[in-house]
Amino acid sequence: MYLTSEQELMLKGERGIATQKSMEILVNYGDALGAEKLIEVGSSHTLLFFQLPKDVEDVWKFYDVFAGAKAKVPTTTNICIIADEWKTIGIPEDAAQSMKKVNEFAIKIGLLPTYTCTPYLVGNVPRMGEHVAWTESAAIAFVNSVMGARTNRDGTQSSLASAITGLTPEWGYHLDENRKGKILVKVQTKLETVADYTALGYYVGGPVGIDVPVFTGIARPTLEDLMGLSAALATSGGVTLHHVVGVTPEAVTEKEAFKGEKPEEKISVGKEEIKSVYEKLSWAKSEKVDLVTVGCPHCTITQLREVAGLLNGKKVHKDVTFWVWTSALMKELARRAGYVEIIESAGGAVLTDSCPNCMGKLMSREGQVMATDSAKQAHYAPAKTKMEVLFGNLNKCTKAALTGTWK
Amino acid sequence: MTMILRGRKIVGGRAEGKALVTKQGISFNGGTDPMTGVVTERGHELEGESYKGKIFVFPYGKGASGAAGDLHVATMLGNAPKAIINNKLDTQIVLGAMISGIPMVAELDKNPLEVIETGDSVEVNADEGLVKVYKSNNNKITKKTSSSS
Repeated sequence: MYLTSEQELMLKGERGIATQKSMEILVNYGDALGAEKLIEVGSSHTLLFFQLPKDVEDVWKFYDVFAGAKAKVPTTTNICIIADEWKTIGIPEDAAQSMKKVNEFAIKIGLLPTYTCTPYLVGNVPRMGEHVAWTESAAIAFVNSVMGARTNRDGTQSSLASAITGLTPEWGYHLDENRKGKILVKVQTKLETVADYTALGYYVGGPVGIDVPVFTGIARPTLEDLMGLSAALATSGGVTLHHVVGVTPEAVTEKEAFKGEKPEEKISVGKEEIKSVYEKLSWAKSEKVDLVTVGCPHCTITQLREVAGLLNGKKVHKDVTFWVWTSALMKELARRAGYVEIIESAGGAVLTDSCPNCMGKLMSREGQVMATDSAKQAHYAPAKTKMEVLFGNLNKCTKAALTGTWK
Repeated sequence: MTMILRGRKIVGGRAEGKALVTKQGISFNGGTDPMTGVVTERGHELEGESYKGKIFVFPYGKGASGAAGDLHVATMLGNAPKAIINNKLDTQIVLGAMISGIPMVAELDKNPLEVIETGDSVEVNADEGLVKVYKSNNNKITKKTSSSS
């Protein structure tokens, strides 16, 4: 890989050990991919190691190397830490302590303690064409597709290295030629809710794999619809970038989305296909719901408003836990707007910095029934939390929270 | 019967072992458990199988971007696959394999998912981009044994 003279010095250790280690990661990563050089990034979004097994001291050694560094570019952090609510959620003390240590590390090296899967809602807002180095599959698909920024599916180690150096390998989705559509997805049904959009993404992600799908037949999706679609495409599949004709910035027309070429494959999605996802992801044996969780990806302020509207003056069933997940910033705005008080008065909780799949078995809810309005949360829950799953739209989930049953 | 496949070195190194093959994408984060090396994705064709110590053959990485981190953790716990063979490059798998020192090859001249079956003995010389496959005659028995164990 070509390196500038300054980058050579960074790699040789002339700019400190953290920078040297970061450059080693990025150069090896770039060489493995086949990148020709490193490019500058405008921001990073990192996913720190957490839920560490006690005997993996090597992870702390990994952090120690970077402990003297300062992030060079604005860098947000992905979900991981349970804010102050870990005791009420039932997270064991040792896990909470480990997370606190991770948080101290993050702040020390200048990462923003956002702990959200929606960094683009809390100040990390890339511009069209801007190169960034992000983790969080849902956020990666969102900023590439909806905002026109450019990132690969970066990981824990590379995003930290990019934060410290402000660099990433020039490869994959940073390059024009890899951003053209490959597979045409004709949507032939009306999508009514965010859950429907997550179902669409989940249905399409499998056959699309890691290629670029181009959607037609989607009119006027909301911000939340596009967040849900992006999240689900990177769940059943590994989609980094998708285009929605007439909606996303690199797809004003179908021709532009495919850069004048013909689609390699075509997929049609109708009512039955969407229904099949609801059926596949709703498999709990019992209709009695223990936990209703919404906010995957983390709720926008509009979604918090919607939840507050649905719960206003009502009471969550005594046997049900109702969690609404969002970022700390969005929660503060919702608090000012009065939504948090409405949700809490109804017996629900607005929680930040994490989500059930992120906490997994630490919640000790094995065998219980989870209801969610996100195909992503529904997909990972059985493996991550060992819970049984029901998947439906926000209205259905809220109704289940109020009645205790799934109908 | 021996077959040789040629492709691209992604992460150097050599390894030999039994193949574990799937035509479905793998999510190392949320789809497998790094504490055990077992595939945990509900409904995945490898659900319940372990990649630990195997030559892991799958089309590409998918799903959550904690994959590179989880592959790293699996390696620190001694649960890593011996080598990885992919059709297409997902940056998550490349980064995880690179950090963990797991030999990796991709973009082979024959589709590894059609040539290699679970239970075949495989030698990976990632430095040269070479994969040698020794076809096992009792794959079906191997599969049965591993899924019932």
